[in-house]
Amino acid sequence: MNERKLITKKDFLILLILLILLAALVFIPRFLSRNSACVAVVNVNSKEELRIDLKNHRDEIITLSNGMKLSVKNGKIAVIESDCKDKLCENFGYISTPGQVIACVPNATIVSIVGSDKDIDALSY
Amino acid sequence: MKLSKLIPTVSLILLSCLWLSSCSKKEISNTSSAVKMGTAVSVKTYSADEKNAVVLRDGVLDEIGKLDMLISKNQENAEVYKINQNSGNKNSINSELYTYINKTKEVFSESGGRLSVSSGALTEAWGVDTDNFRVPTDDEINALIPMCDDGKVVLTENSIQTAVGQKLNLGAVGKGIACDKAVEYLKNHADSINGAVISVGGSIGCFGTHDGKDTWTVGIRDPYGDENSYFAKLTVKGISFTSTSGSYEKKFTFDGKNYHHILDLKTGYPVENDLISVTVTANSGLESDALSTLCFVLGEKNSKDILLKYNAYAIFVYKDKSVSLSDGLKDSFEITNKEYTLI
Repeated sequence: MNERKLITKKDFLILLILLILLAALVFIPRFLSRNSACVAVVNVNSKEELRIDLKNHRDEIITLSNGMKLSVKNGKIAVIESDCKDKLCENFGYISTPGQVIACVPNATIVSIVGSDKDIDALSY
Repeated sequence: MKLSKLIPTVSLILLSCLWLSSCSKKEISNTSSAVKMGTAVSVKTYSADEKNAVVLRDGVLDEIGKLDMLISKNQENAEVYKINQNSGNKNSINSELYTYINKTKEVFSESGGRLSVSSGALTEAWGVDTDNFRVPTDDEINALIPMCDDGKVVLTENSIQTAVGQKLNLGAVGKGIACDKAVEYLKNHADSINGAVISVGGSIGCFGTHDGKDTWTVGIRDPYGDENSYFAKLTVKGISFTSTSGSYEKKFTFDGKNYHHILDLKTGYPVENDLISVTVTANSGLESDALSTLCFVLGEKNSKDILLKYNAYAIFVYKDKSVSLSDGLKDSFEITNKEYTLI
């Protein structure tokens, strides 16, 4: 009876391939989810009105049902026109990082960037 | 025979594949934002089950909507609105509203009359609650200050009677109470959720765990930066409540003079000191919200004992960008904007 090695060269190769496959299985979805982080969600009157992928969106002006105008430019989004009195929403400027928001309280409208890849869980102000 | 030799190895790897992929499936987060209580509210829930994350997220928003119908002074048909319309008479209240009014009165009594739960008449004259800012005349202010005295409020566990023209105002604590409500609701559904973070107009409530950790990172708004900027990060653990009061919020200029929304009942005018913001983390949202306002009005030195009493911690930010912390906060606090210095 000839002695068997615990792991032959072939075994080792298969093991290696399987390991690489495994790593791909685990990391590719993570990588993809990280890349899809740049999505802007627009809520009007507590309802989601729009969802915009900022990365794959060409520059344009979007008019919401309440007449507010949004500008999408270079992967960023801003409120550029609103009929509210205080105009605070227009002062927020362009946002693009997950967790950032633009709020227009008089128009009950919130634009927020969603995604998991962010630095803070919440902002106290 | 070669194939059979491989079977144990291959099956082992396949099993570990399965195990790992079940791990990477882990939890799902779900965020929703809405305007509630006259401010921006956002709720993010973490759960192993997407349906639960969505249902509980919407449940929190509903709770906050219900709360507004209790404590709002501007919303017609809200309990506090009705009490204010019926000032001078006795009004029956439920135990929940009693708790909010009583607790706010208690915390504000530490201010020596500079803050009160019945400050509505003065804040309305300044247009603070409706964002219709104006500067009242001195005569107007002097006539309104006595109407903001909590000594004139007769409160029992099921009734309240204010003086004629007096107006209850839970504006300084409403956002914090909303965080309390949200966390209370989530505690009752703890089986279906891992954790959540709630922001009600910048008052933050944290609950449970997310991504396998029980800490949450709360950014502290940079008073000189844009609306989404922060100058420091505070790490909080488990259930926690954080609120900020600052003179950079709700401000306006009239006749070349700057005004903000935090009124001192001793003068009837916005507080004037070297602070620009105070952030407080406390055991409840009501306390964090009330104490951040209280600390802003009283200043750092006079707030120390009160913070200890409530087991709360504060971050004092001065106009010159120097920052001072309560004892015990240093290890969980990190400045990210180098223009600010810890003193």
